[in-house]
This record gives sequence, structure tokens and C-alpha cells, in this order.
Amino acid sequence: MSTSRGFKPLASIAASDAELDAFVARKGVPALNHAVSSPAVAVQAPSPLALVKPPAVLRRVTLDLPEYVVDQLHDRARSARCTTRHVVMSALKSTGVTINDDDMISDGRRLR
Amino acid sequence: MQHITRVITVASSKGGVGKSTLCISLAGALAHRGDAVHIIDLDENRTVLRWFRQHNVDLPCLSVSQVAPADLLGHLKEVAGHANPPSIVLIDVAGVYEKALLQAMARSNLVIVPAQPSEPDLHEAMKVIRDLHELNDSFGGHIPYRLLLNMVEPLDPHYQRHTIAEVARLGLKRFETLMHKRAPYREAFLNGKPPHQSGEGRVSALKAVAEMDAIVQEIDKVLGASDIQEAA
Repeated sequence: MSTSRGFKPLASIAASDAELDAFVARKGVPALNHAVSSPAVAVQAPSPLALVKPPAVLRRVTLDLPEYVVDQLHDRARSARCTTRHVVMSALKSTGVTINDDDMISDGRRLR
Repeated sequence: MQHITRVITVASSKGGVGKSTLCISLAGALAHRGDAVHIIDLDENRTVLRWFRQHNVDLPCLSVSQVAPADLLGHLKEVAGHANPPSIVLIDVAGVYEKALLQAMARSNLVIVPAQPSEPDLHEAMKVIRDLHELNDSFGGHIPYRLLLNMVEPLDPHYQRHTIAEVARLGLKRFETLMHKRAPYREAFLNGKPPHQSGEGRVSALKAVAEMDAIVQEIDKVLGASDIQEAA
């Protein structure tokens, strides 16, 4: 018996991502800056060791930065609808600083 | 034989309506009858993913993934192309009115909109339903939706009867089955077991199981009708 697979959802709305993006933009629907940019993480039968993952301990750091740099950070946070902390963390991560995905919270909400 | 993966988005632009609870409970019911279920957690709170990890959920036919909304379409294709693809994909979105909500709905065979029988919940539910209509109109789709009244009070107070009557007056399509406020739904987050897997003989557990079974039956009907409409 041959087995073929159909992917029903694509037949429901045959719109490309770009067309959907345009639709969403026309409607003025906001887009959150989602922290997950890596490929999907499938989770199958996690090991017991992975059960307890305490949140990272936070430590406050105070930095004196040029005013125009701070202004840019705030502008970027505003346009990306995320926190300034997230802008800084993203920049650090892009330069190779190790930051866990779990700690990349874009909108400041606490994990429930 | 053709294997079809069905995508169901549990959608609301409001938090606290029970999206993740519904996802977990539905996944348990579908898995119980033998369906392979995959949940995509689009919510940055990662409620479902955390539930799955923390409790080491022991359901061989259930898997959970987390994906960025921009990668959703590719991920769905990947899931459907898997050697043993799931028959149902459930998408749990964040309770926020944002682009990802529409992206998920556009890739669905059915959109379930949970709402408590309250004006604020129904207001947001109607916004989501309007957007779905607009998506369908704009792209020639006919993705169905069903409102699911959730956290319904068993004592059926007057305000609840009024709200349910309003839903009917507004012509909103809803599940006939009401999802009542029951302890087993909440307990699933504490013990990792959806009602179907709780293995309990308590009345509340049995009632939760019966509710989920009834909802699954209604889903089957909607998806079946949707198939006929698309074939036509």
C-alpha cells in the first residue's frame, strides 16, 4: 500500500508569508519581537535532568553610556516593541556572548 | 492511503481564557483515542512547553515544540513531512493581539476561540473571529471557527445564562459542549496528567473526560464538514 501525505492547511488559505505580512500590516496588527529565532526545538521524552531549570540569577549592572547611545537603545526598543534590556542582550548575543534562549525575554514578562 | 495532518489553532487575543489548559486537555483526549498529537507553543511564556518538560509527560504519541512565528509555515511542513506525522497539530498562541495570532490562524483547518462567559472575553473573541472572516475573505479561504465557552460555572448563574444567550443572539458559532470550571483541568499543570490520563474515578475527573470527548467529537464533525466544503 502506498502512502502519500497531504498537507491540508496549505489548501485552506493559499497565501504566502509575504502576502500574510502585507495583510497584517494593512490591518495595523502589531508584531512582537519574538526571542526565538533558532529552528524549532522538538521536545520528545525529556530526561529527568532537564526537569528542573531554575531561572538565571540576575545581577544589576550600572553603566555610563553616551547619551546618544542610550537614545538609540530606547529607539530600537520602541520600534521593536521590546525592552531595552532585550536590545542590549540581543546585541551581546550577536557578538558571541553566551546567553540562554530561556533568558531572552523580549517583552519583560515573567515566565509563569 | 492518504495521511492528513490537521492543524487546530487555539486562538485568543486575551490572556487567561484557558488556551493552554485546553491545548493540554485536548491533547490528552486525542492521544487517548490513539491520535498522534503535536503541540506548537507560540507563546513566549512557554506554558505548554514548560508543562511538558517539568512533568516529563509520558505520552508516547505527544510531542511539543517551540517555534518562532516567522518559522511556523516551514515547521508545519516539516512536521507534516515527518516519517510518522501527527494527525493533529495544536497551536497555542500568546494571549496578545499580534501578528503571530493571524499567522497561526491562516495555517489552520480549524480555529478554536476559548472565552469565559464574560463581556471582556467575548469582546476579544469577536475581534479574533472578525479577523478570521477577513482572512478568509481576503484569501478565498474557508477556515471554520468555533467559540468554546470555558471556565463555565456549574451553578449557571444569571449572568452566565445571559452571556450564553447573547452568544446565540450574535450568531456566533460555538461548541455545544461547555467546558466547566473543574479541578482536573487545573491539576494537569501540577501533576502533568490531562484529565484522560489522570486515571481517577472522581466525579469531577470523569466529567472533565466526558467534556473533552464531546469536544473532540464536535471537532471531528467540523473538520469533516470542512473537508466536504473544500472538495466542493
